[in-house]
Amino acid sequence: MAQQRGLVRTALRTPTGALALVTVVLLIVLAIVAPMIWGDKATTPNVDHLLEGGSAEHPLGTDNIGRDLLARTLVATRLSLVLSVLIVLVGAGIGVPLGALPTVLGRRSARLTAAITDFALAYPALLLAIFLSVILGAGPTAAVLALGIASAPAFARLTQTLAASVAGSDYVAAAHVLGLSRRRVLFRHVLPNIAEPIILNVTIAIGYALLALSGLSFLGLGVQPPSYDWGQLLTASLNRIYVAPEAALGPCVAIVIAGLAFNGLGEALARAASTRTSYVRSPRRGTAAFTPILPISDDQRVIDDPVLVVEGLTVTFPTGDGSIAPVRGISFSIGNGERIAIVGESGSGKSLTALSLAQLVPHPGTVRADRLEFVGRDLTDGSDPDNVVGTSMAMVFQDTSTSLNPALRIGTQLSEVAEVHGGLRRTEARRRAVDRLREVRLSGPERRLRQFPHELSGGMRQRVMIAVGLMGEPRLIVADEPTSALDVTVQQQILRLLKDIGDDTGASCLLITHDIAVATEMCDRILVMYAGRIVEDIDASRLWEGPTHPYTRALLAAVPDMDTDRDVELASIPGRPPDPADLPPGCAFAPRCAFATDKCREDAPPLLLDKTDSHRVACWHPQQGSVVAHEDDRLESEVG
Amino acid sequence: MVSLAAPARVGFADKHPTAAFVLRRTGRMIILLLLLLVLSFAMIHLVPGDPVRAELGPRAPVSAIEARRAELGLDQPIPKQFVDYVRGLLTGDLGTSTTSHLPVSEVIAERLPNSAKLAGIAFVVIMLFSLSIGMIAAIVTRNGRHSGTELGFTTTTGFFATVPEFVLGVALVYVFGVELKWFPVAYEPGVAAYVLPVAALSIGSIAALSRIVRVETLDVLGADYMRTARSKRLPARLMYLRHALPNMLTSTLTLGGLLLSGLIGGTVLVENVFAWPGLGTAVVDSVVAQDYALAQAIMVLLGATVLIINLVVDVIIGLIDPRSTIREL
Amino acid sequence: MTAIDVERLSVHFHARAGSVMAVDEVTMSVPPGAVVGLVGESGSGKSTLARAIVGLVSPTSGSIRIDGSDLATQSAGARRRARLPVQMIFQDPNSSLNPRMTVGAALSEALGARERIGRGTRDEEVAELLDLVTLDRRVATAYPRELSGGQRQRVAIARALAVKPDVLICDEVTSALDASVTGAILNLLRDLRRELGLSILFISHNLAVVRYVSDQIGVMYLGRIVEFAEAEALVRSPEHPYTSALLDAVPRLGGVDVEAPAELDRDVDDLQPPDRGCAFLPRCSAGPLVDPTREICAAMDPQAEASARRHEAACHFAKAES
Repeated sequence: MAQQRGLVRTALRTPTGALALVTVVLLIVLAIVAPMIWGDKATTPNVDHLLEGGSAEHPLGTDNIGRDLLARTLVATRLSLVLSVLIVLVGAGIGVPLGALPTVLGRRSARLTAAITDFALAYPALLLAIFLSVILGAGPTAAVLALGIASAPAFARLTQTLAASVAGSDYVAAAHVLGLSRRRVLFRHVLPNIAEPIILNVTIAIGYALLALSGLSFLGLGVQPPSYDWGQLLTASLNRIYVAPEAALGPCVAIVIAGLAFNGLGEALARAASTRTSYVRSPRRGTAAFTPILPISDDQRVIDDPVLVVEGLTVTFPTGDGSIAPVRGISFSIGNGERIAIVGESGSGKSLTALSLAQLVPHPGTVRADRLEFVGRDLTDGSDPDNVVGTSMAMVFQDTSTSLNPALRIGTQLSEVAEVHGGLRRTEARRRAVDRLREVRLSGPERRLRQFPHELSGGMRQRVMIAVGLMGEPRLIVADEPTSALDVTVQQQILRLLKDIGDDTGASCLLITHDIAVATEMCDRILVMYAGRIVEDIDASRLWEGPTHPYTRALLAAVPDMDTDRDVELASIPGRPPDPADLPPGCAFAPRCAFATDKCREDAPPLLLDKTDSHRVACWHPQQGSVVAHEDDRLESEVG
Repeated sequence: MVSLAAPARVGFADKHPTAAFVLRRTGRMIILLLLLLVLSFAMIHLVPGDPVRAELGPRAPVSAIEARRAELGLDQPIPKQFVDYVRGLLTGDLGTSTTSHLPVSEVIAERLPNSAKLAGIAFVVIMLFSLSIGMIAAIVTRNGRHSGTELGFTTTTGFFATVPEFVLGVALVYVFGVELKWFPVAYEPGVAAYVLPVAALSIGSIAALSRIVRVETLDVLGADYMRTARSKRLPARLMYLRHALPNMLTSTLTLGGLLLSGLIGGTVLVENVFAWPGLGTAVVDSVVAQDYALAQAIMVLLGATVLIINLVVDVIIGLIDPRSTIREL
Repeated sequence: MTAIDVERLSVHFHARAGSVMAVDEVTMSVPPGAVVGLVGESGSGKSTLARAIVGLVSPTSGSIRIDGSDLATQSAGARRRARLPVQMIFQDPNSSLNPRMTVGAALSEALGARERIGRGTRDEEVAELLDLVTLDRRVATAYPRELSGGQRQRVAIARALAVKPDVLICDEVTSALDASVTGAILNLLRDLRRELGLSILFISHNLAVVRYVSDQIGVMYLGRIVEFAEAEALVRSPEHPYTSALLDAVPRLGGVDVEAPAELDRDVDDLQPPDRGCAFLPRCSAGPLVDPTREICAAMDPQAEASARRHEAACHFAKAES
């Protein structure tokens, strides 16, 4: 119950939610008390005041036997609401069990449920209402039944989706494995996770039911005189609209307000519920405004003829009270034909770095750099008049199932690059496409042009993505976790392909990955990122001898590879990666570092070159020696 | 030894998936249509009381009642009555309307064009406006841009989507018919008479549908493949027309199908507000007046229309979307 | 001490496109106190096998024996009791905990599955469980959404431990975690095995992790176990070409450059195996596609003679068992 109260409280925080809730409560109160207060006034005929227009005594006028219309509008609230609730009860009463059937009884009954739902959906509510009105006589019973049956399919569909997702979830599976009784699983695990969305839908459904019922009553098929709901009142006043429009005003306003209130409340509750069960860690309210970019000057490796030079790259996102910077002033360069990996865990900023190079950071993120040069062109201010990014930078993304357009054939997605940027005609572009597909070792390249992405496996789609990048003449291939979603044997093929393409075309490669072993296999140089900063820049061949940054060392010691000593415990890093909204001053790794001193916690270390001029590390106390995991969790080494 | 238990024979469904799909859906529709006919047939027989007696009055002699019964074929066994009924439907003999004493088919023929024109014009108006407003709203507010516009859009559409057509119709009648007198509020020949009823039918649906279109468009615009298209530096025209639009086709068609079916209910309501001489007013009047032959015929007509529309939309979607035939149940 | 024995287990799925043999006549066992690793790529059937053992999926044929008694011969109630000592931990920390139950409530419920414990002692037991997985006791009042991925996995482990199991089945438990947290979870599993004498069936696609954790390793391909051996022996001298391909494909620190690919560098469209002969043939660099004299691969399924070969390898060209 605490959860439900919290839900309402969250919904109340928005102005629409609060307004809707208040209105709904008001309507309910009105439904209860209005007949008691104004009941007489609403039903007492008054022959002296027939068919009057608005006046002080009767603000909305009177009807054909002199009854006060304002009173009648207020009193009609009860019948309108009660019938609407009944409609939703009928609809949910039929729909929810129907939707739950496939989950409880198995997949065969899904077909039955689908058939019944289809049938109910096939006939509009109005036709059902007509049918039932003929059989049962026009009146509220027929209306409630008809509208209830008509609303059942929506409930059935919702319940079926919810039940299927809940039933397929691991916590329900775990409950079964624990041997909990079916009853317990149903009531403790399944129903609570289904009930909330359904209840929210009930609120919205009451709104729609009310509107539909008013419509039926308006037609004369719903509430019959002498009973009256808003729809019935409206139809009675319609033929006087030229003379006394205020008569229609009451029911119109009442219908609209009630509809808006219930729908608004339902939507506010739904929005509140979705934020509560999501696992995204949102920045805590009230955190200090974002700490300004540290004015650190990093060293830069000297390379002649670099393909890419980046200095002080920062990506910022505005938040409610300030901004966060997932990438904070990084500097690196990529030489001609060099292969560089950026290694980091989630939240390190590695993906955003790749996206910012290709100018693909989504709004509202902003990219700033002190210097950004690609193939000799200055892109620091973000403009790219010669379109070097489009022609010389190839992007390969992680999720192959969503990165290719499912509605277009492979051929189109390949040849359009050459047509737009290379000015080639369709046939020439297609020829080049076949050529590139052959280059990425895809069997049957001509056949592939006509296929759609879903007809290919994940590995094949990734080859297509690489081929797309090769349609221009790329000088730099940026691959963001290109193999994380693939099997390890396919991963090997793709990585080998990228390597060979780099060798053949002379293109440089920037590989983003969380797997440091993949980085060492594929690349010459590794940049380790932590909390938006580069903490180490080291030759891949020297990784084995021992990196010097405590984070890199801990990372190497924490993940087993094929040669890890099986008798020795793995190192682990206490704590967890920091939230970009909640960064400590000083070195971001200090809270988890075994060698942190006060200086680390106060001053953030810059990325500095060491004596060899090819190794950079951002640490006040870099550690020496090769990485060996000892019996306790700490890494032993000489204090640097 | 065999690891894959392949289906014993490759059947028709595998060789011609599209044809099988169309046949399956058509079969489903025919079943539902039959059900509709059974229900509408049963409707008469489930009416409490005796329709013949109701028609002829309480003082009619038994002989007259029996004669009328034989005339209507009500003395035959039920299955034969059903067959006669269906045969009658197929040949256009729908019985006689008890209120107007005209053949039902004539009444329908007279009224159908008015309703069809109203619904048809409203459909086109709704689709044009909701698609364009929804897509433009999505492009303007993508990635959280212009949150003020988004708020205005959501509030306005939220409001108008909740106002029912008949309430809107009444309001329009008052504002434009009574006060401003710009447009006629009842049927008369000429285009002007259509303005208010079409507006009443359309505004709510435009509001509701443009919200949905906006959400769908935002989903498509935010998809990974759009990011890939952006990384290719394609011109905006290609990005929206070639990459985004085809992915919206399925949802747009589904929307269109739902709209057409939903317009039927709306048309009935709006016709009753504007006293429009169409099927909407006819069906309500016939139920109230217990003119069951007319009510039954209109019900079958409307129901069959909905079924056929759903079938056509399903088939078109199935043909266009390369993945849907594979996903078919 | 519980042992799991699986004999000729098959699990058949009916999908719309036809039927799939997700697990194909698998025979294996998890001896008491041992850590058995199961490694394979997508479609290998390793997760399905695990789910069949704990009863989440019904086997089509074959037998599962827990502690010697065949589950098929028991009533539903007896089967549930027999399965209790075998618990499972799932891959996705986002969906393995009920979002609407606090950690304490979930653990308390798990404790109640085994025996009736009073409310007072239950709180203490919950705290002890949290200690066991090295979580702060205050986590008991938190909801899953407030915890990190690593913490949620620990809670899942604690929940499994609540019923005092003898066997833990870990299905890709570290695949969704960051590298810095993986080590902690693996260390925890090793400690628990040592302290509680658990046996573990460790399933993963990551061969390096499986090798580190396991005493014995089974390699699965398309629903079958194609090789089964002591961990070091398997890694040092594999008998099956697929194992070699896997070993070659695992990225190594230090960037060791291997010359010849152990597997044909080709994308195979259809993963479904041929009707006769060896299932691995289309990808095998030791088979007839490379060496046409090896016709036996296309004619006879090597699975039949597997037990006669070293490492129970399903390959005609593996060495004979000495």
